[in-house]
Amino acid sequence: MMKLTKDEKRAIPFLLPGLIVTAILIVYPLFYIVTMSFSDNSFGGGGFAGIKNYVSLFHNPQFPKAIRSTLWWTFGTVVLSYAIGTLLALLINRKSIKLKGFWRGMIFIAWIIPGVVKATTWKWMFQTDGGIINYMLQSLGVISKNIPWLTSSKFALLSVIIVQVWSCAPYVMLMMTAGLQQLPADLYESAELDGATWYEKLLHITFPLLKDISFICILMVLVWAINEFSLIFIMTQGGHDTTTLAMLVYNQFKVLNINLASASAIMQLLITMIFAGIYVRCVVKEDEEE
Amino acid sequence: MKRNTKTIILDILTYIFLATVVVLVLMPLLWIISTSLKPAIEIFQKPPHWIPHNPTVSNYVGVITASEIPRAFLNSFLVGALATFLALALGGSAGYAFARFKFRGNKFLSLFMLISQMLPLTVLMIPMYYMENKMSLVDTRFGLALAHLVICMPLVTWMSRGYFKGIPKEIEESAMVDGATQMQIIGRIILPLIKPSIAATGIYAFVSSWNEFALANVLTRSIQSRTVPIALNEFSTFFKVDWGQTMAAAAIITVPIIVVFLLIQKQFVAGLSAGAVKG
Amino acid sequence: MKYRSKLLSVVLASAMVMGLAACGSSSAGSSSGAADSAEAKTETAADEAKGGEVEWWTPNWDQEVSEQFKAEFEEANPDIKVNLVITDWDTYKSKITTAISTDGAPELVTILLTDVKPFAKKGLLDPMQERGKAAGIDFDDFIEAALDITSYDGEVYGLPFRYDGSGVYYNVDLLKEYGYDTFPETWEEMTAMCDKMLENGQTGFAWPLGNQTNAVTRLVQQIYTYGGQILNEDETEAMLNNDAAKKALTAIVSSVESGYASESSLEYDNNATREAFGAGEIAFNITGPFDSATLDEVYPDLNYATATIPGNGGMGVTTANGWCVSVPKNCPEENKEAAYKFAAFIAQPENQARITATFPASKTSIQDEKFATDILKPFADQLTNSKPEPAYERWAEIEPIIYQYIQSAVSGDMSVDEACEGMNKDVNTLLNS
Repeated sequence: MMKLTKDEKRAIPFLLPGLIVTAILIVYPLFYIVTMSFSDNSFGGGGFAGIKNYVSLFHNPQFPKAIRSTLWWTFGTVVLSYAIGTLLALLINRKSIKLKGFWRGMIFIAWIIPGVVKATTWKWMFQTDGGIINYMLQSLGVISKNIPWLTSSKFALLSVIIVQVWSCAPYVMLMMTAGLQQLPADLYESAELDGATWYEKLLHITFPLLKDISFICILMVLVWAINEFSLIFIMTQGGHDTTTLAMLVYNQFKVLNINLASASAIMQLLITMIFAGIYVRCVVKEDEEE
Repeated sequence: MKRNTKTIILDILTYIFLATVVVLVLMPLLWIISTSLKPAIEIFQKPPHWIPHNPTVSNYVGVITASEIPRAFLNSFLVGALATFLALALGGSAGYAFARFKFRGNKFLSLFMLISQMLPLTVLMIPMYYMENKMSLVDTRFGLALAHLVICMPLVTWMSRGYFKGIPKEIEESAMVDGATQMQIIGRIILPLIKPSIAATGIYAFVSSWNEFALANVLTRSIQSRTVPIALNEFSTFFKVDWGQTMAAAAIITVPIIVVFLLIQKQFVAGLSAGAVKG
Repeated sequence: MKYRSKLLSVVLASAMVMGLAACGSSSAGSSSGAADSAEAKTETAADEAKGGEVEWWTPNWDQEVSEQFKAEFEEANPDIKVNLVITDWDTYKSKITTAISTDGAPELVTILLTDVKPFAKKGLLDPMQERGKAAGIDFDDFIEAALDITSYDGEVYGLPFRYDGSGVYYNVDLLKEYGYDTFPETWEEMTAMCDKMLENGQTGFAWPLGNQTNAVTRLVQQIYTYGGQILNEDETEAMLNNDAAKKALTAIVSSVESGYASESSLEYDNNATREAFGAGEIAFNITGPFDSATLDEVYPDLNYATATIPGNGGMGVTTANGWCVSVPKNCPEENKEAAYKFAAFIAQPENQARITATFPASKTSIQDEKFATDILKPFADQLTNSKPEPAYERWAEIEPIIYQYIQSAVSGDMSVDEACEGMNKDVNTLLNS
């Protein structure tokens, strides 16, 4: 038995309940999934199957398309959510803007709406012929022919990205707002005295100081993007190049192919971790440089 | 701050932009309410229209009096409250430990917590079901709340770690010198300092639990524990989907959360700023 | 002030936690139901020794009749207790899959006929012939086509109680306007009629291509009509690039291109096409007999009639499916006898007639007058020219592939030939992986 330091002994009562719950709720299912991904028939108690399941993943004709769609989907939602959310945070935070709480509250509503509700409603609004969006665009004279938002491979992925950004950007906005409010005012004052322009202030003061909170924001949006599946499922059922990895996992599960589903899920987790890892690396590197 | 024309123009542009965004945000909500007030024939009429020609409250009446939604509402609330409470209690104390004490595996475990947030839920469904089945927790609100910890606790732990790191150790140390016990320190000094942070992570946990579908689908069987996202399916049978009632139900379940949020949103923002910055 | 209310809510939450934790660990779990379930528990504790407990997972559209069955059966068998768990269309499959894969599975589940084989192949269902016969089920009374679908490897794994296929609903007044007293009997005659309608801007019909299952079902129906198949006998090779398949896909693509079929087809599912039909937007609609109840309710002024599906030079082929009850292998052994007793009760001809919303799967029952109405008769006729929906082992993986190519072909992203070749290639890759 290792000798516990005084600190460690004091940590135990705080740590233990959380760790136990984590072990049960997370470690066991994770262990189960990993085991399943390396075995054969889950129901008949099959044997060890090596990496057979992972290999057959790559042979699935939908896999390469799914990877491509997932990359576009993830990249699109993360970049757009972060950009729009940050822009909103910066704008509302300006001293001359009134009713800050009102704007923030109203915009945040988009994040709160339950997933099933927003997916079904947007699907309806995006309908080519009977949808309110095309109707309004036509009435305003913006388009002359109805846009097939959900039924053409040109627009389908864009449409689901729009909905995901619509719901994630408000979360980014709120997080970045919180970060902005922490920034020390004197830094800006001295910069202004030195004659800095607004974009110089933005690049050299604001963003570097917001690194940590940006980290959490981007990570969360990233994770939500990779794991999201019910939104796309409800809106397009994966048609027109919108099938992502998460949907493949669900498809396998539906077919009772628990082994393949587990392998897909592990792949999904690994990809998430790779993205996150790359991002952490960038953040940590900059930290060390300072 | 100089209020010259440049600022004023920028302000006006900003307000226009913000107003547009708000309209975009509210559009689906308005569509939901509009549809919920239409009789069945009107719902699919082309061309689509915002104002119902023959508005009716029958959908709301049906949902409130003759459906499972009210009961499901209660279930969702209880499950959410319990999951939030547990996440805050367990995650919060774990976060405190990560922030304050040096021990082996500190970095590893806290990173593990973060990674747990990334787990895909679709495949967690089966092992989660097996576990809860063995413990006879299926179709109970307690069981579902426990399962929801999977999505609530990791982030709460990570954020709590940040908050506590932001509180200078000196405050606690001087209190200890004065003879306060650990519990007293927590109760009298720490908790008041982090109340906004509790609000922030609490809301995140509650809303995540409220909207959660995959685990609730598998772990609930009857109205005893069925939550709102699952109950929404009540209106679609093999033959037809009652959109009017579905939308009325959607309005009923979304509006209260929005109201609650608007009331405490100031806390939320204050709380977020304290916790996430010290990653 | 705000902090105080925050504290209050924390206290409230703790109180709730105490309350919930107290009654949360028993499987009854709800505070208001605690009294009831305590009573029920003492009752069943005594009865369980004798008869058994049957938990039946039945869908929400069958709920009313299911409750009647439960009441009647319990009266006739006081030593058996029946519990209903209501499922819904969107989630029944994933819930049932999870529940029957481990111990403590429900004793009886209502599933689609085509759900049976995949479950049976994984060893999740009980073979029913032996115990079923002992409980009094007459297996010869089931419609063969239906029983075929629920059988695997020489054993029966599901008792069908509902069996139906598609047919045509048409707008009598609209057709009369264009000079048609009855519905065309061949596909060619039907396209001629659509031509006439198109001149006046009236759309003929619509395909439900917005929903994976609906869309692929329609293609399969067309393939069957042209005498084709999806896979070969051994299920090792796809037959999606042969003549029949190409003709089938062409039928769908060309009808949308020329305008006979609504250009909104790519977004419609079965519900939307019914609404379009009810609103007069399309002149006819191909769907199942269950639509009539909804049409009567929402569009009472619509003057409609039904007919068989026109096909290649004669009546077309429809896919048929239906619902059945199965007994999961993993349900408690001591309840199995009771489960079969209840299953036998449901399978009785009179009871099938009560629970089905379309047709029963019993030969004696389907002769009943109530299934011979004007509206229903064409569906019954159509059933004589029907083939079961595909129940291949890997059908659930094949369906999305076919769906994607249907969509590409209809939206013009690729030609019919390209789509069929692509479909065929991908399915073969899947089968060989």
